[in-house]
This record gives sequence, structure tokens and C-alpha cells, in this order.
Amino acid sequence: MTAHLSGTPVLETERLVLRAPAMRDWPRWLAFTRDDRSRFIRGGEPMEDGKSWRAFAHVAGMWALRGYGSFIFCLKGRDEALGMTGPWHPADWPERELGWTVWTAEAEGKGYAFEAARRARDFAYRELGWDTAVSYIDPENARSVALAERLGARLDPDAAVPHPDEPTLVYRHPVPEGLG
Amino acid sequence: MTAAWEIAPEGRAAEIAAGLAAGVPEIETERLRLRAPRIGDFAAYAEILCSDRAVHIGGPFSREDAFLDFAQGVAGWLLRGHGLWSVETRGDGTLVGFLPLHVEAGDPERELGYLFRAAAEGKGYAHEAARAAREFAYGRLGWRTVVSYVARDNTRSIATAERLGAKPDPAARHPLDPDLIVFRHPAPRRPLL
Repeated sequence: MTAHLSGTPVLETERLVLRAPAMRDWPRWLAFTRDDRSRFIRGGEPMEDGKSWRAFAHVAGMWALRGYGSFIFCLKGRDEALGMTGPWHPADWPERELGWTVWTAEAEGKGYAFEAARRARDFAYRELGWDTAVSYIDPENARSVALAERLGARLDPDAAVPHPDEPTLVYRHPVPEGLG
Repeated sequence: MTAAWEIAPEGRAAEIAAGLAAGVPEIETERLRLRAPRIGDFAAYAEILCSDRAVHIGGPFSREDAFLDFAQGVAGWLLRGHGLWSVETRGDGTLVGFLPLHVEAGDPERELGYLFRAAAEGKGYAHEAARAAREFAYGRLGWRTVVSYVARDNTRSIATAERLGAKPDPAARHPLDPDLIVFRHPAPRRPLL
């Protein structure tokens, strides 16, 4: 079933389209949460399918509740989710985050996540009026750390973390020129 | 104080949220209004899910889990075209409960649920809202059947299901919790032609 609600923004980059999640993205999300690639976002524990559904659906729900949320990014002309990125604010998190996940090995190493996250960050600053954004990253997630640094984000050792009992790096993004 | 993550959106985000909410059907009954949930409704949702009222649905839950549940309920509108309504009184807009028309992960079929606040009990609100939601499911959505999953010891919920004309369906079981009673609602009236 396609979305019965519309009005969510669709963003474009040179190679990608960013859009709100839809039901058709679920199988690829499920495959991702069953795969070793997702270990950093599930605390290293397996994620049962029911929990995976909740995680996926609540991402979509936040669009309706907050008016913004994570975008699915796809190659232009191919509506297949490569991953997800965008501004969001899960429960109990001290501040709003720019998050990203890359769902398959094939989508890696091509700069897609960088391209998508940069566009989503621009949306948060310019459209939503954010004046700052952080990314919370597992210290062992080297690829994610590299992406944060490529995006120009820097470690913010004073920032609060969502779960103080878990090792988390907080990368703070630069405010683009002319804003903030 | 309202937590940072429970603050209502502003500016462009508020416009997008309002646009999405406008796509959620609004239903009015004699005393109630079923409408799109808003972030401000979460406090009432948490009040139900984080209390002993949720003991029959696997709770009480943490506030974080309650938010996950709330957001995924709302997401139904975006992902499936049916989902969670907030239910308020038409008179003064008091939020009395929530009506999910949904499929949770692991559910073998679509469910009509009802979650109402303690202060709203004993007034027949759950019955009134559920009946309207069921009419919507049969009419606008064209469903031919719907169930309610009810814990065996949830006497109030059983009473509501029975009052709605639903009957235990011994042939239908919930794979994750075989102990749940599967109440099947009466089928829609057949069209004349």
C-alpha cells in the first residue's frame, strides 16, 4: 500500500533522491537489521523482527508527529532504499540528531551516505531552522566516524549523550556559512 | 517540564506535520472525535502505557518504549493508510484515549484496539469510539473482518469487546501469545446488490 499521506519533502542531490520512508522500504530495512552491518545501532544484540518493525515504523511516525524525520535515500531513477539519513529526535535523547545508516555493502564506499547526509543536514538548517546538530556514534563504528569527519563534524566532549552507560561519541556539525 | 523530545514542532516542521495530520480521517460520534495524534498527546499515551493500566498488554512500559509504540502507531497512517487515532470529547476537547486500527509486528491479522485513560472509564467511550472506527474499517477501507486481541484476565476489555458484538474465535490464535482471546467482530452488513 502506498502512503495515504503526502506533503513530505523530497530532496535531490547529484545522484540521489531523499524521501520519507514508505511501506515498500520495509523488506530492505528488515534485511539490514538482520545483517551484521546493523550491529552498531542495536547494541551488538540481535534485533528480533518485531522490534525491527517498531524501529522502522517509529521512524515514519516521527515524520507525522514532528514534521521532519529520517529520509530514505535512493539512486535517482531507482526507488530502492540504500540507507537512511536525516534529522530526528528519538525519545529521551538530549538533543536532535542527524543520523545515518547504510543498509548494504553495495551502497558503501561510493560517497552516497556523505552526499545524502549533507543534503539532509542542509534541510535541517535551512528549512527547519536548526542552529546546531549532533551525530551520536559508537566509538567502534569507524566508517561512521569517518563520515562524520568528512562532513566537517567535530567531537564535542561536553555534549550530553542519550545513554550515559554506553560508550558514545558526540560529533557536532558545523553551521553552514551565512547561517547561525 | 516538557522534555525536549516532546515539544511541538514549529515553523516549516509544523507545516509539514499539519499537512500529514490533515490526511488522517477525522470521525465524529455523538460525544467523541477521533483525530490525528499530535506530539502533545504523548503525555496521555504514556500515562496509560507506563501505568498498571498497561499490565494486560505487556506493560507497564518505560517512557521510551511507550514513545516507540506511540510513534509506530501514528506511522500506520503513513505506511498503511490506517493507524492510531487520538480520541477527544467533542464538548471540551479532553483527550480521553486512543484507538488503534493496526497490524503490529507478529499479528496475523488486522486489529481494532482501544486504550483509554482511567479518568475516562465507565462512560462507554471505548465502545463509542471503537464502533465508529469499525464502521470506518468496513466502509471506507473495505475490510471484511477485524479482530481485537484481549488478555484473558482483562475483564473490562472483554466486556467492551462483547458489547461491540465481537465473539471469541477459537480458530484464530495469536502465534506469539496463544493465551490471548481473539475476539472477532461481526462482519460488515452485506450490500444489497
